[in-house]
Amino acid sequence: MSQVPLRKRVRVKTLLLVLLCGWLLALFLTILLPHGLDGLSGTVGDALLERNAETASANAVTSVVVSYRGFDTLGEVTVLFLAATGVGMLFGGRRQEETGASVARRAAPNEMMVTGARLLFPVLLLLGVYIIAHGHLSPGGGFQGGVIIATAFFLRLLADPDFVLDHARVGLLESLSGSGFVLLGLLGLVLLSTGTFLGNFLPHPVEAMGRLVSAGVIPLIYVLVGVKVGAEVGAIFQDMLEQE
Amino acid sequence: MLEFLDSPRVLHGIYILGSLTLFFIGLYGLLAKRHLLKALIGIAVMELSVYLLFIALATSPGETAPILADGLIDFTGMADPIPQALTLTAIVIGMAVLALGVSLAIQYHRLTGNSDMRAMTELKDS
Repeated sequence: MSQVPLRKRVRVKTLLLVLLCGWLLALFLTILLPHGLDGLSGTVGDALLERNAETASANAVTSVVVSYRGFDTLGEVTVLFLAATGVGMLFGGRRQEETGASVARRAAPNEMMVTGARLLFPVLLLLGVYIIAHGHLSPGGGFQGGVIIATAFFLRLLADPDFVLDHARVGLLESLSGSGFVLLGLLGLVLLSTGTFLGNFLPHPVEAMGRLVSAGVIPLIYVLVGVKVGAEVGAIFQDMLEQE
Repeated sequence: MLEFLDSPRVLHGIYILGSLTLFFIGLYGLLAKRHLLKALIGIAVMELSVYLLFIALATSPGETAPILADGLIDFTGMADPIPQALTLTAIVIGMAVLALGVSLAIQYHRLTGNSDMRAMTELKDS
């Protein structure tokens, strides 16, 4: 413990300000919350749950993310892409002159780390692929599984100093899956059977609900999202490690 | 003994109080800490409290997850899927914001050797 007394470590004025904010918000909530609850008759979520069988996806959250609000997901993936590009731009500038030095300077990872990563890498990859592929059946999906796959590569990057994610290849994977997402959406718009952006143009019979091959275009889009998220988060890890 | 927890009012009240507490802990961290990374962690804690509140208020006691599994055959008596989907979006955006903010902080520290917000005077008129 530090020798500084508690009175010096806590900012009393800030704490009082925060408490005042909290008290005001609580007051506001107690006044405001009872209003509007009496006339509440069903929410958008209830309406979507009622007609969720039309997507043939057993996971209603997935059908909201990919189908009903697929456009939001496209925007979200774009934000993630912008962030990954920003991180790459911030750390990428000095890569050329001292790449050799940076690899040598990093201390060798310890034995436990290397063995553990060797053991965990395939398991994590498998888990990530499973979570992505079963996004329309069970909790999980492209975002969660993509992050797990990126974590597997992060472990590998930490454990093995010679292992480098190829920026060109990661970028290619990312742009291919991103354009695949938009392409699937545009196909739904062009084809006469659906006529809406991200419309479900593949056959999706309700009887198949709960099987791996069901829900038409939803698993395909989620797989593309998973690849894209995995590539982007992996690129962020790689950029942050390289600059050490 | 704990039956009173089954009423949605009590449960939602507990959730609201808890996430408000978490939110103001994050706000205190954002306002009181001068280290850049600590302020970013404060923002992350505030985001977390909002996710918790969203998920908690969308579910009433007795509702199941909006997934057709474990013998369920019908989409009734399930939690509202929209807040969950929006929270998924928010988590990803929060991660992107945190990654970009941490990179900016690291780059700033590397350029100036400084991570204290009080000492950020580069743009000050002197």
